[in-house]
Amino acid sequence: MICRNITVEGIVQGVGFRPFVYRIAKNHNICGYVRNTGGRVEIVAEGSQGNIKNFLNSLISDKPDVSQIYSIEQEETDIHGYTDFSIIQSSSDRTPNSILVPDIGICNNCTLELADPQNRRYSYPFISCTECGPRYTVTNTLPYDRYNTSMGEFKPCPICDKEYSSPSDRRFHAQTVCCQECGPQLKFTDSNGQLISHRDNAITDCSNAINEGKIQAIKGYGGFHLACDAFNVESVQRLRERIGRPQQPFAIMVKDIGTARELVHINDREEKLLLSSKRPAVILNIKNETCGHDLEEIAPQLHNIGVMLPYSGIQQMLFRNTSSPAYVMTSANVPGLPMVIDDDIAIRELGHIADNYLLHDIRIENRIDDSVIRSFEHDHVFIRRSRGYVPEPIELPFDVRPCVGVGAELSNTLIFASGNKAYISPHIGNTSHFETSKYHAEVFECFSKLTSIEPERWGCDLHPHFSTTIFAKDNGGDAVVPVQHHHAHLVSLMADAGLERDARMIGIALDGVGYGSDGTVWGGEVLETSYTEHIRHAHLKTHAMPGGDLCSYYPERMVLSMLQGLVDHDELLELPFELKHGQKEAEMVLGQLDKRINVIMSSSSGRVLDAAAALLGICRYRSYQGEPSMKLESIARKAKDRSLELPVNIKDNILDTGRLLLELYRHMDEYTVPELAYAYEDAFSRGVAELAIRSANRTGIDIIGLTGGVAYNEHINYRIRDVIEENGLRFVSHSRIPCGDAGISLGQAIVASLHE
Amino acid sequence: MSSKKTITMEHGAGGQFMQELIGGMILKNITQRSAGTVGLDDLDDGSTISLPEELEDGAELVMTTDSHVVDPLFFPGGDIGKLAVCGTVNDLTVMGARPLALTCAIILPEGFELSVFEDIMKSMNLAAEEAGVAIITGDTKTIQGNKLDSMVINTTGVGIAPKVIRDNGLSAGDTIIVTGNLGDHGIALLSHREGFDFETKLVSDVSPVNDLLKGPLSLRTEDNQPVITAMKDPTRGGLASSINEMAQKSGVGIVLEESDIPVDMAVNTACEMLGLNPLEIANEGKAVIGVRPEYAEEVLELLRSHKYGANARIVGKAVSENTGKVLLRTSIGSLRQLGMPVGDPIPRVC
Ligand SMILES: [Fe+3]
Ligand SMILES: [Mg+2]
Ligand SMILES: [Zn+2]
Ligand SMILES: [Zn+2]
Repeated sequence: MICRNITVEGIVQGVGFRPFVYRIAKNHNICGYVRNTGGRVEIVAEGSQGNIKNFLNSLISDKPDVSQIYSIEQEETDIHGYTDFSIIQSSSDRTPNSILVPDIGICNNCTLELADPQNRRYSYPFISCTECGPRYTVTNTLPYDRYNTSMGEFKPCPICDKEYSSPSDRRFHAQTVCCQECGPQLKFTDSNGQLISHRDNAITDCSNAINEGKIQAIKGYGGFHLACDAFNVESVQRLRERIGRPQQPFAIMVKDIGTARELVHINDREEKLLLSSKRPAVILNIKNETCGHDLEEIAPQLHNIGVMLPYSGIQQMLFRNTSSPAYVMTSANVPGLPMVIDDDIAIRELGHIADNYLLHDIRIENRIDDSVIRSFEHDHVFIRRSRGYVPEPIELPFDVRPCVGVGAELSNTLIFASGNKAYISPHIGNTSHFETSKYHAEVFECFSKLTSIEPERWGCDLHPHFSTTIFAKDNGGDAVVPVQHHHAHLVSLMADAGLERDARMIGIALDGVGYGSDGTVWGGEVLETSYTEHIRHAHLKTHAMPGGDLCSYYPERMVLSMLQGLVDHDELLELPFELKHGQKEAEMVLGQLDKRINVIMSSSSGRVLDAAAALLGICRYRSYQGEPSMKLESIARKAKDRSLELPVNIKDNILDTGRLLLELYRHMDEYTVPELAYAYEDAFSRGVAELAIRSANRTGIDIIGLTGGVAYNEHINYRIRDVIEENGLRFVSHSRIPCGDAGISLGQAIVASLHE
Repeated sequence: MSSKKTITMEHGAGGQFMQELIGGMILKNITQRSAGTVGLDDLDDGSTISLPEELEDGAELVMTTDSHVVDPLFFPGGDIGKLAVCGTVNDLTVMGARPLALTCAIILPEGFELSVFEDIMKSMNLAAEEAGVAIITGDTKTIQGNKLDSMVINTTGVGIAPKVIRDNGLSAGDTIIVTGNLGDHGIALLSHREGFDFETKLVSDVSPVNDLLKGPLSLRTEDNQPVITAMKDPTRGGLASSINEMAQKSGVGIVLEESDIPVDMAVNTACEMLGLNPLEIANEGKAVIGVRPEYAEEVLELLRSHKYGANARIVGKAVSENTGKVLLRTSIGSLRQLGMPVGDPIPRVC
């Protein structure tokens, strides 16, 4: 007989880990107990040497699917003489690496029960078990126990209580266990919040309303969605009008994988993603023949669309009686602001958008948007790493001291890291909006509490006017380390790719805008990068941005800027500009450029791609982030003749993007728009790859990495990769962290943590 | 940011650099900085000189000074002479003072045309007549032509304020009023100087506001307090600069309704074409006023009945939360912080 104290660290809370330990302890005749302590599970096991050994083996090999074990520590202790094995009340002491589990999509067992008229939870939408259901979104504080979640407000009925306390039951110690008798309930209201129906009728009424073409605000575990029939063009248009998103693609939720297959191309890798318990929205290529359904209104001028499968009981039930197998399912928020989570606020702020509300009485503790993954032909990359993934930590290739990265501004996230774990927040949004900057501060508090990390270093952007920079400086004092935007992008990539602490990489960072170390605005950079330093080796030609940020919204301004001096003044003004103030404004922009009034210099690659989209008439006004270059990519895919090769001009390690746009302009009469778009992206990619390869050759560094929002362009991403690999160099790109500014916080935190 | 070794244009632009220059170079080195309730440290529109108690019941003299340079000297709606008078008259007025007299010190470059100089003097006189203020002393210097390429006029003004109005007097709940369209001066000057041909003729708003504000300044509450709680003239840095200063100094938050802020169409169009923010553009004949809410309508009516106040508007209010910050409620309903202007804005939209 021996006794062992065993501590298991990992994703071990809220995934049915203690019931699992209980079961295997019973199987192996082990006495003692299991309990949660902060983020770990502590087991005291007494039994024979052999039984303990088998118990430990089973602990590792039979653990629940969603759990992850990072480490098991054990030590021999004195025999206590336990006579049974039990699960005991969580201790409230906290450990630095508290781990909370992401929400888990509804499991197969619960799906079956939900549809089984004989089951006591038949048609009860809040069905869940130890292996599925809400976690992060309902948890107020660790340890993860019912009384620390918003489910604590619902006292389990005797039957639920029995399931909860029966070790053989699959809801044994399921903190969210509840049923029709004791759990939360649905209600269905009109746009003013006036009750129409509740319980079962609420779902039926809601799906009927969708069938009728109405727009629904549907409360989930982590926030509100706006939903309507994806195949009802008028509904979708009405939603666009009411929410003020004339062009932005909506994600759709489809009834099942079969329906998804009718609409989009799905390979095995993508199917696995769609069906995984994390249930992200996956951006997939639209089939040419989509069974008579037109997806143009949902993803205007794009070749792909975000698709996800139902991940909650409510969603599954909504598809039961519907005439449509696909719903638009988009986060309910004013563009740029955090998603709505409060019933009253939803009714106040979405009243002009939603015709009805489907509400329930679970309080949302933590807001979370759907995760979005862009799938390429061979791999995929996160656009938004949120539900299903957050707050699961990212493992770092080396230990860092406790630190925080506050992020940049658009599509922002923040991060807490310590040791080899980094906890990235859910999508926060555009912190230039005051409400979003407040939410940023709330998420900071929440993650500070959940991770118990007390940062010794604060990483922030170099841009002095970002609200996140100001937040860091106001709160972090001497611990603040401003990190150059593209350095942060690239360090995030190095960590994502698992590069060692002393690694050096030639980094390509392609994005819209980032404040440069020299006070100018960067965005098309080749930096020799380590975890602590960056040296700017090469970049895109610097162009004037007449009117600064105005150029991001009106890419024709960049056409004027890039072609001024290359194309005759009068000839340039003959282009059919669609600026807000028409042709007059085009003249004004040229004057502004001449006189250098409110003109900012930038090597942005986003603006260079935007300019082509504008020149080719693909997108002359940007109504959502990335619109011009996304549409450029989609149209380029239609190129039949791909033989046009635009020349690449590099001088003094600067890629002349002005000449590139000029070449495009010169060929406009001879080729189709898709062919021109394809050729432009191709030449841009070759040029950028060439800059990086020259740097690699010069420095002897043989790894080249690509990051930044432009890396979401599959054609550009793969083209750059091909050229680099053809040259015998190693190419790395993101797999766990977004390439866009949502990935910045990780790089900031690491650079800051390594700063003296 | 603060490591500049020589003077740059940004040091005079009314933003962060100028604040650093004032704090680090001027205030630090002057020891006697006060002669009344408002002194140099307050960095208000002017300062006060207390009168001997037996003379006046709480009234103070207000003094202010301003050096005027403008390129070009003549612009639509005005010239440097009119500007030099109005700038100082307006600074006195927004301190709650009745302007009494001005000084006028002029620095001229060698070779300056006398006929032009005379036109400027005539214009100064017209403005002084309108404002009802005497120019009682002055000074003239000339500088070699290659050392100065245009003229500088300094005016110092003295006025008397029965109750001084500060820029730090806002309380939560106060209504914020602007007396007319914003950005006219800066955009008129810019388009004239750079030869931008905007559809509509843009004219500077340069004018004395003492008569416009006479009525509102005379209003008193039942316990004989001014109904105006705070006031500034939104010159350099425009409304953005003035209102931020008022919020910071008063320790309140301010919420402005973007759609209520009066901006002339032509100015708006010009700003849209150049990527400028009309709220950061200079004005030379406007005031930003904080008013006790129950008197807001009365003040507004008084302003609107005056030829310079026809476009006066209530634009927002002071609140107790988010102290020191100015928030703009945009057309889509979200709030955006209106920061202190910072020279050339650095792009941030990805
Ligand atoms: Fe970026
Ligand atoms: Mg002033
Ligand atoms: Zn389940
Ligand atoms: Zn129950």
